[in-house]
Parts: sequence; structure tokens; C-alpha cells
Amino acid sequence: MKKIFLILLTFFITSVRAELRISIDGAKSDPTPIAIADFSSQNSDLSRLIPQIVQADLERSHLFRVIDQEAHIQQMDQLNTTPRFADWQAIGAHALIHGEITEGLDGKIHVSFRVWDVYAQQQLDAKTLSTAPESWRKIAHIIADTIYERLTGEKGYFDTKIAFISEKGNADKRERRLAIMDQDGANLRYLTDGKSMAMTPRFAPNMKEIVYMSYQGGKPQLYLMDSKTMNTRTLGTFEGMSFAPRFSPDSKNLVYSMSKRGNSDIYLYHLETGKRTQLTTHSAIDTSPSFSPDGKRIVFNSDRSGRQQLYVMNSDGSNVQRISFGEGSYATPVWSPRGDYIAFTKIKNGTFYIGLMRPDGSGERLIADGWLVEGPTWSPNGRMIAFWRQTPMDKRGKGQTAKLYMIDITGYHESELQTSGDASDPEWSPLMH
Amino acid sequence: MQRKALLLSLGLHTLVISLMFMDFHFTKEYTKAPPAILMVDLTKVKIASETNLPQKSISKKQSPKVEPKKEEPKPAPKADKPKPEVKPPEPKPEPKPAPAPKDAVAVQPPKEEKKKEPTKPAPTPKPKKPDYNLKSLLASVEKVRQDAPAPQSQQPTTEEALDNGTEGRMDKILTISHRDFIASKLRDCWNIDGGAQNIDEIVVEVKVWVNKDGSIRDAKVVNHMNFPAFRPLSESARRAVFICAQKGDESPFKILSEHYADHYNDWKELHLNFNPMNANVF
Repeated sequence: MKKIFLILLTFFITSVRAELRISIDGAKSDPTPIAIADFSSQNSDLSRLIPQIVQADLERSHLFRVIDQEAHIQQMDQLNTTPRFADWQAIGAHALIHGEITEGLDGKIHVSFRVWDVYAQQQLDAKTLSTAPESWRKIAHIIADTIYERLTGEKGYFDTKIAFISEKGNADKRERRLAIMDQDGANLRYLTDGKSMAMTPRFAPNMKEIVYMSYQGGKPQLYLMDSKTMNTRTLGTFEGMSFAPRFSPDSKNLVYSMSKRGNSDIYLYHLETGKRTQLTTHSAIDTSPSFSPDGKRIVFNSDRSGRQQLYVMNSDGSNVQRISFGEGSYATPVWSPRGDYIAFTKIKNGTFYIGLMRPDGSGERLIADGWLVEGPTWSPNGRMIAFWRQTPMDKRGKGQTAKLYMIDITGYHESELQTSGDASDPEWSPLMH
Repeated sequence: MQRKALLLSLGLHTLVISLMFMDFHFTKEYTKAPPAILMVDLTKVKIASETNLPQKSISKKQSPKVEPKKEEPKPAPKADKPKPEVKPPEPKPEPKPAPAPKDAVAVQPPKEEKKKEPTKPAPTPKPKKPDYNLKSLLASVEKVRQDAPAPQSQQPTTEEALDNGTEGRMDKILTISHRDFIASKLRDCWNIDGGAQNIDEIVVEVKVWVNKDGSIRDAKVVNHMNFPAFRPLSESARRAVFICAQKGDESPFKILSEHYADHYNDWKELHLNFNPMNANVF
């Protein structure tokens, strides 16, 4: 009897049909169309301005295309209005964002918003954020970060700052001031007065300090600025010239180059104890060190092979391995916060490039070029790179201008970052929230 | 005795239920003509070993070069190349370690001394034309400059899609041409973030319940992978099913209802494997 039962069961199982399987290999990668409705509010300015900032942030990422509000069929009057999904599907929106701004008795504004999947017909996210009214731009950036993260699965980079060197004046008396602004160019502030030249600002990952090189006292040295008090202190007067500083991922150490008697090596400086450790001891010029995000390795460039090439070593200076083998010279390597790429500057046949390679040196791609492009810096999510480009005013190369640019890692979307004057040496901050 | 009766009853019930699910092909006489046979002139068609071809627009594009080519003509910047006397500085790692810097100007890059007219507006660089073709994702700038951007992939017409599959091998149920057609339509409906991390390791499996008229009853993601990008990619894959289903006569599911109505039981449940980077992107 058991045998009959088993036979019947087997017969039953095999009689159930296999479903039809189809493989879809590849996809398109257009910006995702989304709709952002005005945020309902008694404050008509904010109800318009906040969605505008969110839209500008998302569109600048080139991952989203915001559908013109003129095309909206349904007016989302209130936060609790349920979308008529067919109306939003009809205008091609994949996602819908709408919100509401209220003013609390405490003087703060409370911004609530919802993110909807128009085709799945379900809410993807909803949040309420509160802040002082004057911080409305920050709220807008955080909303954009939230949407970006929910729709891409990766952290955003909109609530961030960019430090850079603002340049003014003639070449023989060039003023170079340390400046900082939001990643969209708003809220510009100058951190140094321009009396002495500042260069290569670098944020501590915990955002408590900024290190930069300055010529105060006539000798280039490293300075640390407290990001809250703006107080500045020198890192110590060393016998040589110190430059190219970067923080370790835990913000406790600085790695930098120091030049003594014509040779430059890489050093590690512990900020609390002041202990200094020499990491390279080669007779060649070793410089531009940058930590991997896990803090275990350091990429740097060296001319020990005859030309400037990129090398990776352990964070204690051991196990040095060359990773770049292409034509030309490589410089200013910067490890991606995501850990998957190293950005660098390359010069080949008289042209400068910004490029990317994997940490093992494979997959080199050059994503931007120019008469002089330099100083790549990563957005905190490792998707965008800011750099600066110098362009000559005439064919003889006289009268250059310097501007900041952003490009995504695909290499297809480059845009200028507007600054009031010339700008160089950008440095992208971590997320501010 | 009771146990025996119970097992017998259970067995017979199982038999009856299984018979309800069976399809006795040999008892049927097909009244409807089978799908029309495509006449293909083999002298004009290159036969590949597989006909699961990517779209024509995609297949034209070459994979990105790893190392840029030697000396290519660069459009605008070439004209602005610095003359010998104003050669751009070697890529300075950071400020150059001059042995004994006397003052600030001494360690300035040489380019500084040549600036005389800083007020003149800089020509804005030409923005590169975006190309969302995944085959050329992550291409090198030199390669991008060299190639004319590929036209945006168009929705293939039925004929075009059928042209892609010409091998003629018939599957049990679905012709390979129709399979290609459905896959290419869904590929066009699937919009993803091409720069997402680990995208080349992600596969999304979607189970789709299709009505007899080709409309979608439901779609559900049936696998999970532990990558941050998996959730948005799986949501976009599921969305692709619904977007495609709304395309009327261009819906990939319409072809099932039109050509395989008699085999509804075979396609009422579809298992779709979405592989974002499985088309030889790298």
C-alpha cells in the first residue's frame, strides 16, 4: 500500500508543470523618472524652495529625472492624500515624493514627506524632520539623501561640504584662501584671511578638524583647524617641509609627506601623542599617501621605478607593491570611501587625466581630461569625484582659469561646480548627518 | 484495517486531484493552427550558436577599453595645448618638495607665473553626451571621445526583435524568437542604476502571474541577496514587469496570449531572471 501511495505521490509531483523561465540579460540605465509635488505649507516660499533643492540635488546625481510639475495630473494637497497611482503612471513617474511643512510652537519647522513606488502602489519611506527655519536647505539636502538612499540602496552625498582653495588676483600676487561651501555651492565661507597661502585642505572623517598646508612663517607646514572654534594650530615644526596630508579613517592619525635634504618620504603622525613614524625609507620621492577605508593599507605615488607610479603598502609601511604599469606618470591617488576604486591624476603625452583603477591596479579608466586636471576627491558614497581643471585663456597657454568640476564614476556625467571666482584643490566632506 | 482504508482513500484522492492538473495532449486535436513559421533566408543571415542576442543597439557597442588608446585626436582641448614655452607642469603629487623654499612663490607651480589675464571667462568644457548603454558603462574618456555616442536604444518593433532570433531552434513551448522578443522588451522596460555597487553579482528572480489576456495578475520577487543595491534593483525589476504590461500591443506578455492561448497553463506563471550585467558588459 505504501508503494502505491509513493507511486501516486511521485506521479502527482511530476504532473505539476514547470513554470516558463526567461532570462533578461542587461538593462538600460536611464535616469529614473520621478515626480516631486510641492510640499503643502502655509509658508509658500518653503513649500516651493525645499522641493526645488531636493530636485536639484537628485538631478545633479544624474540618476534621476524629475518630471515637470506642469505635467502632474493629481494635486497632492495634503500629506495624507493617497496618490491616484494611475495618474502618476500616466506621466511616466516611477516614484512620487510629496510632503508637508508645519511650523511648531517651538519655532521650528517640521517637514514630513512620503516616497511612493507608483507601480508597486506602496509607500517606500516616510519621515518627519525638524529644524530651525534658517536650516531649511540642510533639511532639503537630508530629504534628497533619504530619497537617494531608498531608491538606490546607497547612502546619499547631498548634506555634505566641499572645502577648496579660493583663488584671486594676478599670478604674481595670487591670493589663496581656504574656503568651504555646501556641495551645491551655497553657504560659502572663508576660513583663512588670505595673508598666507593655503593649500590641500583635508577633512578629518569625524569632521572635527581640517588639516591643510600653509606658508605661514614662510615655510610650508601643516596646520590643523578646529571646525567649530576655527582655532588653528601647527602640527609641529619639523626640520623638513611637510605636505600632502590626509587623515586615517579613525581620524586619529595623519599620513603625510616630509621632504628632508631633497628626499621625500611618507610619515605617520599620531595626533594625540605627537608620535611620528617613518613609513617609507626609499631614496626616491614618495608622496601623496591615502588610506584605504579600512585603514589597513595606504596608496601613494613614488618615482622609484624612474617615473611616478602608484604603489600600495600596509599601513605600517611593509609589503610595498606597485599597482600602476600604464604609460605616462601617475600622481595624487585617493582611495574611494567604498573601497572599490583608487582615483588618480595621470599625465600622458602632454595631457592631464583624472582616472580610476581597482586597488590591485586592474581596470584603469580615464574619465576626465584637460590642459591641467588635478586633485580628485571622492563623495562620501564613492559615486562622484570632484576635481579642478585649469584652462588656458589663449592658445599660448597664458592666463589660466581654475574651476571645480564633478564627475560620476561612470565617466559620463560631468558638470561644473559654480564658485564666485577661481577655485582649486577641492576636498569633499563626509556626510554631515 | 482502518489504516489501510485511510491510505487507500488518501491514494485515490491524490490520484483524482493529480488528474485534474493533467493535460492529456494525446487526446486533443488541435484546431488552431500552430504559430506561423518564419521564413528566413539563411544566405542573408549570420547564424550564431545562441540567439539570445542583446538588442541591436547594444550589440554594436564595444566593451570599454581598459587602457586608453595611443594618441587619439582630441577635439577642442588639442588646440589649446600648451606651447613648448608654457608646458604644463608634470603632475605634481601635491606641492613640489623644493629643497629650500624661500617663500611662497618659490614652490608655486610654474603655471602661476604665466597668468596675466585671469578675468577673462574660461570656456566651459563641452559636456559629454550621456550614454546610458550598459555595454559602454564605465568607459574610458579617450574611448568616449573617439566613439560617436550610440543612439538611445529604441523599443524594437516585433519584426526587429524577431530578426534577432533567427536560429530557428524551437523550444517545447515557446519559440526562441518569441523568447528573445519577450526578453528584449523586458530589458527595455528595466531601468537600473548602472553604477550600483556589486551590480555584476546581482540576479533578481521575479515570479509573474499572467492572465489569459496577457495582463499581469501579480509579480513577486522570489530571491534575496545581501547587497544594498539588491532592494532597489529587485523593485525596479518588478516595476519593469508592470511597465511592460502597460505597453498595449507592444507588451511582451501579449505575444503569449496571441500565439500560445492553447498553452495558457504553460505560461500563466513565469519565472523571470533579471541579470543586469550578464550581457558581457565588462
